[in-house]
Amino acid sequence: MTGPAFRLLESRATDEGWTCRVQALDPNPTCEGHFPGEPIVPGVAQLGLAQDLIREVTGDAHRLTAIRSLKLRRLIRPGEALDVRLGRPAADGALRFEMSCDGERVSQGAFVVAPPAARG
Amino acid sequence: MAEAFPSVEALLPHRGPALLIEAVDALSADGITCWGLVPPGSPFAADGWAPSFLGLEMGAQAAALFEALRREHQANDAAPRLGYLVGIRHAQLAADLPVGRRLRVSARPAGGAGPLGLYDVSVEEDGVEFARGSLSTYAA
Repeated sequence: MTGPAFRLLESRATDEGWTCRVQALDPNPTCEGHFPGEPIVPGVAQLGLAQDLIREVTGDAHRLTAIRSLKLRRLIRPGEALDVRLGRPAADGALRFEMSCDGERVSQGAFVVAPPAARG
Repeated sequence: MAEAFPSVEALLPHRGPALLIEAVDALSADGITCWGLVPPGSPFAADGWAPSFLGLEMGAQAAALFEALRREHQANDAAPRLGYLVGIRHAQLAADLPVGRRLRVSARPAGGAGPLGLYDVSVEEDGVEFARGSLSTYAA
């Protein structure tokens, strides 16, 4: 499970965390209406991807609780294959996230994850 | 009497399940407040809830509405323009969003120049906050 916008092709554990290969779905449900005639995967879909990837590789139901920073440098279009580097969460839940496409930086972020919170 | 605003569809290019704002509630030089809603057909919705981070997209759409209404005021040009989220900082994701409920979405300009905008946004319901953060946007 990698959010509504992506599918996981492969993942590999490294000393620092994980490297994953994902593909933006095509057709892509997050592009319906975003935008008509100009389908672009919404930037927040990368947050869903990060949350679901960390759940996938750790087996724990982590939840994103904070975004310290996220720079979105390049648009993602349906069908594109992307490389993700995900850092291992620190004791305080902080982890690094990087995404690239054919070596070009797509995004770079510093997030915080925690176990699921009660819903209000 | 409440101020009348153009329909959201006349100001934003988003459509269908990607459109997360129903209406503008209030506008001033300090910012905008809107009524937002996660539609049941949202690809992010599951079991009646959507992830908190979708509130940041709501905030980005509120910021785009602020810019469209400012263009209308300054140049009588409120036509929808593509805009992109290019950065997020200091975001707190407190709780998942209830699908189909009206939420209060605020965006306050905090800087920027030219096509780049910086906004502090928040999403709440009856004083309970779901998400907040600082967004950088780029208007094409």
